[in-house]
Amino acid sequence: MAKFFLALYDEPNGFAKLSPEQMQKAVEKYMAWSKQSFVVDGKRLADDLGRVMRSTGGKPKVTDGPYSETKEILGGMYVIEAVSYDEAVQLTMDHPHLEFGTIEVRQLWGQ
Amino acid sequence: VTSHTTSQAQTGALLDHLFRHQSGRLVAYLSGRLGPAHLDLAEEAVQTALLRAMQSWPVQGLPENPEAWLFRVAQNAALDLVRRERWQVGDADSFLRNMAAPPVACGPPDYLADDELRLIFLCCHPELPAESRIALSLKVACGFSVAEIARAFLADEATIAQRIVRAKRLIRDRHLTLDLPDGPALAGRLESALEVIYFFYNEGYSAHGGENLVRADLCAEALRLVRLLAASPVNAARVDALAALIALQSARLGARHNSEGDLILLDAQDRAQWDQRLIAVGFDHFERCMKGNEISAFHTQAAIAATHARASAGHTTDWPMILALYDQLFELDPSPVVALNRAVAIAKVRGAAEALVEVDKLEHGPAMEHYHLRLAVRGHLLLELGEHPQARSSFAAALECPCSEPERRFLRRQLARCITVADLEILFEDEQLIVLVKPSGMLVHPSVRERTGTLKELLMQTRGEAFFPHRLDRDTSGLMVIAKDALTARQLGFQFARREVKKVYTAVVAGIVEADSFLIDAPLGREAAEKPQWNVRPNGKPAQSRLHVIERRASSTVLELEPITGRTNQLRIHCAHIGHPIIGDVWYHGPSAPRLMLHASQLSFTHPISAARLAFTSELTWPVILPT
Repeated sequence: MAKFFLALYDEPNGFAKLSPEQMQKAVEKYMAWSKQSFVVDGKRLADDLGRVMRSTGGKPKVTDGPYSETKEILGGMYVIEAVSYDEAVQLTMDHPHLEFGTIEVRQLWGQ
Repeated sequence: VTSHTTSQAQTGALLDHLFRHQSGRLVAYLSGRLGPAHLDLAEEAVQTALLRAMQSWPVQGLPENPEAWLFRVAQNAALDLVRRERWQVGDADSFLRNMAAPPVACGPPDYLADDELRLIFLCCHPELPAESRIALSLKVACGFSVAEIARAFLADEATIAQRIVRAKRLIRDRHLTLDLPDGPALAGRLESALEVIYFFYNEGYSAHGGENLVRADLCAEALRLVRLLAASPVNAARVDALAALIALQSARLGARHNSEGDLILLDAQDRAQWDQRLIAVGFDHFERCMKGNEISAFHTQAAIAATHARASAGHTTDWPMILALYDQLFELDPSPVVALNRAVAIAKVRGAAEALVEVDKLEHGPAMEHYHLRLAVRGHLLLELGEHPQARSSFAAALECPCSEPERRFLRRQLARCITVADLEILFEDEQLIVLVKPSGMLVHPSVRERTGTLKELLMQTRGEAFFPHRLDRDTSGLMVIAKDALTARQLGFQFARREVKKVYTAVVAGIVEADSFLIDAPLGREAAEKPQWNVRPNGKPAQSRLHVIERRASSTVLELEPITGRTNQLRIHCAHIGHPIIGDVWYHGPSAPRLMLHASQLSFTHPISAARLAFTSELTWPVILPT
């Protein structure tokens, strides 16, 4: 079994249009998904934009996010187990986040 | 073969409608402390709390006391907002003090102790424009999204959003306090409050999206609110009228869909399923509302609901009375929705042709253009008039409009009823029998509920006789052999009973089936109290299906299925049982799709006269009922 890293990107204001009922439905779906046996770990990142540290040749330069021009920011991550990319994608196919944002699937090295 | 538990079974830890109930309550609480000018802040703080819950609960797990968690986070978010908005130090201090204080008595009379009702009355401030009051209440107190409110008003989202913004600006600019007056001043807010409750109810009665036809919780809550009001000193005859209307309509909710969640029209409903307790409550309020001289639109609507409730069967309904009431209602409220309902009554009293004229008069209204019920009614009338092609395009247009999944299934079935013999794919026909491809959505045999639009009816019209030695489920498509005389039917029936007929189905199922072929052996039984009633049960009857993988796609698998036994919903249940429900089979947890992806693709049997072995094949097509 290999391990895969799922990076969940979303638009910070993407959920603001939902009614409380719709938000609760989404919570329930996320919770149900993350309880499945192949999910190894999950973490939610704090709401701020974080810091970016960059080499400048001398002293690293520290700036506030956002990191790029994209509207979507990294909001959370999961680690799941799967035999292949195909299966990892398959298992992630019904993730409720895909209604709202993007998921990047990466295999962890050497696993 | 692995079997996944369904996602639904894994949730359920979260209280039903916790978010909606809490949001109204929290907004009421926070705006009481921030002051009415900061209704926006209160709302934003609550929204933030719900968002935080949405982000952290799935990874951190459910907090021990979700309500207290939301309360604490919303309160902190309000504090953050107060600081960020750079309130004067004094303001922030007084807010902090207020937060610490026990809930302030801002003077709601005891009978408005209910959070939600109080907030509705708060939002129905007489200095706000009437339309803003209602939109604001629905958003703030009832927790609806702007999109949901827009649909209820048949308006666009921008208009509704603007009404809400305007209301909030007025509250701020005119320094309106959201305190509640007592007595006559409060009665002045009643009109709008009743409309809010009415919209609330309608949202529940015809859910506009998702899997459920009705949102019974919304209906129950609307009934609770209106009955609270009816029992309070602000009561007026029209409160009783609305209570009667809601109770009588609610009595029918359970009968509006069958055990598979499909829509059943009023005419075909099993009246034994109507809730007699609610009908009694409804008539009780109805009698009370008729005591005064007042006549409101709610009175007339309650009278219509009462007329339906009095009929012991669909055909004994007093339609002339209902039409007279709709005429009266149309004078009080000449809206296109009332006109559409009136047209249905006209069809019952004066025939479909006259009703169609009325419906077509409506088309000029822009809001009605993409209203699925208008198109559905139009299709129904055209079908009754025998205008199949026109009916078909009406139903197809209705399917393009937003509506709930059960309504969508209903419309697809209506579309299937527009099929004529000329549309059927006939593969073989001689003196004794016909082999044809039944479209998905078409009923084979008339039932108590549906007598017309069936395959049998179509064949009877053109072939005189039609006997069915076997059946296909309505939503399943594919090969059928139909006998033209009783003797042939009997002979074919024997072949089916002796399992000499080879039947193979093609299905597209969700997920990747790993093994190439295997036997599913799982007993099926019926449990009347369960949903779905038919399922794999240890004490059920033995059932076997053979499965063979044809093709693996990205997220689905094409299968060949051979039923060895022939139990109700066997293939659908067996596929769901191995964790690969058939696509379109929402009832057994499959993903929704424009059709059930199950097709009788091979059929071979012995011709009763010539004794020749006949074999037919047909391909599953997607996503098809018929081109329109």
